[in-house]
Amino acid sequence: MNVLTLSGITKRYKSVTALSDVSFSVPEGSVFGILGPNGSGKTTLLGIVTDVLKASAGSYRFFDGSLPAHDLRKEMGVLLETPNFYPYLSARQNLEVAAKIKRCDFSNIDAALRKVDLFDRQHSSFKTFSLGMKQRLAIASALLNHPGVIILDEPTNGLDPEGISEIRQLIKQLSGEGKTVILASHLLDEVEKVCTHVAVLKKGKLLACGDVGGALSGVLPSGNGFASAEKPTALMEVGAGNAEALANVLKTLPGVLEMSRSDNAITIRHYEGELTAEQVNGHCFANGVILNKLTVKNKNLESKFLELTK
Amino acid sequence: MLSYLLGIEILKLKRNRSFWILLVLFVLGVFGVNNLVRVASDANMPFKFFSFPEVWQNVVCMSRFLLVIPGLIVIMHTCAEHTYRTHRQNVIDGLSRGQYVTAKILFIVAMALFSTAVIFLTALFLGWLSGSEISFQGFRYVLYSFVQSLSCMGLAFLFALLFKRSAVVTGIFFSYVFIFKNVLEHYLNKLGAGDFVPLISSDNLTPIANTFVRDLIRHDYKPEGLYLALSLLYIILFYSFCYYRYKKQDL
Repeated sequence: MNVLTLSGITKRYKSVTALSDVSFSVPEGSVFGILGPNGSGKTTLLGIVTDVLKASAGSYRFFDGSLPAHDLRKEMGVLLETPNFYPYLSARQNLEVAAKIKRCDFSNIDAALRKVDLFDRQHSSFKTFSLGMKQRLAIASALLNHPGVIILDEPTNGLDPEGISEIRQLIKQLSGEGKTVILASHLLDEVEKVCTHVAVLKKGKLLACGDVGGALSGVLPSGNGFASAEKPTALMEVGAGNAEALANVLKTLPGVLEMSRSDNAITIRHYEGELTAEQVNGHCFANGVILNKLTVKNKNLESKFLELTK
Repeated sequence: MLSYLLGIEILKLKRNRSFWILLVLFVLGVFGVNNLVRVASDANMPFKFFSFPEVWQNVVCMSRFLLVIPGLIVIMHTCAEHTYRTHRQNVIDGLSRGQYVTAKILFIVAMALFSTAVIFLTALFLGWLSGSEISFQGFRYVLYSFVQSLSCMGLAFLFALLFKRSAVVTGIFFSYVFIFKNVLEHYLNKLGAGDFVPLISSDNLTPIANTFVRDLIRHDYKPEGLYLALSLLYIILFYSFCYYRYKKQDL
């Protein structure tokens, strides 16, 4: 059964079309990533399914649509954009408001606060919290009612590396418990690490949708609006003490489709299976460049994503 | 359902210091202003301004401009929800849009009942102080005070919804209540329509009881029923518009 079904969702703001005829379904028990660059419509889409935004056209339904959406939202955990709480209330008092709305027992609050490591700060007012603590409180609020469906929009925003890792663990844990997680992110790494399914948005249009395995093999399931006839590509990241010399040598390496330079490394894109790390290393060494970094990026979502959204 | 929605608003407000400060200011204001008028009129007028049964009408008349304080509470509460985007969060957490706005309206009704109770108790106390025999003749003016509260807070709610930012809304609301409402009345009076100005119709429900003083201000009041009907019409319009707007707009 599908947890969420979108049919032709369109959202217009005067002359701007933020979403255009987006349709897909989220299977129960999946960790569903909604992926796209900034401004692609991810948050707008989640805003519509949580009823804070009104779609210009199209419809959505949770499960079979037989129950009112707001009653179903009480059973969900949602973290949309930034945490929204009453600044003059403490962490606990804010969760009391959320618990009252969700009609859940106030006794759930202790466990939720402990889960995000805010129990000791439960009586501090929200306005004294750091961004990371605010985000953790929002996650506590989302988990308050032991939700079966969790919707997270950029959940690692503002968190330190430890916090990011904890969120990933949490998502995996929730998935392991059979819960459905819908996760919007522009962080490919984040989606790749935790998601079972993915939908790729660009400028409000759905470019691809399917399970991550399907997406990574370069051919997505048909019927979801995407099927690639092109050969799949992959990425490799290389670095050397002399970046100029490295760039010149790589230009002469057969099989390199394109290069992009970052601070200390060069990322090269190549057709999958046509270039190996040994070949790159050997070519550079033969041309007098010693590498200090060579990373074969896992046959990954990033290369697919860049192809789709370029 | 009503207690569920009102319970949510109480949780939000019971630890809000600004709310309590404004509430206490209102109570002190109603009692303070009326008591001041009592002391002044007892000293300077040949009749008791606050004896039964006129006390009901006079206290309501003297207190009506203080209803801007409950209006200010509505503005503060509604605009804070927009500023902190908690109105979105409430809907995300599981309130329908209709429930969200109904909760706000219930809070306003509760505030109107409270302000009416304060005015009633003040009138009862001042009437008792005057030494006259208690009478509930003219008690309907206390009920009109409830209508005035709903009108005033309804307009505050409407402005808060339209203009969102607390400082802007407060400025517009005060300007309207103390200046533009009367300017509009003045110009529309030339067309015979001054009584149709929002809040003027509800103000005119409770003119001062003493005919001598009243005639100094105005002597051509229209029938009470017309003012009541207009006030109720505006109340319906204010709250219906707010309800419709919350249901339809992006939050």
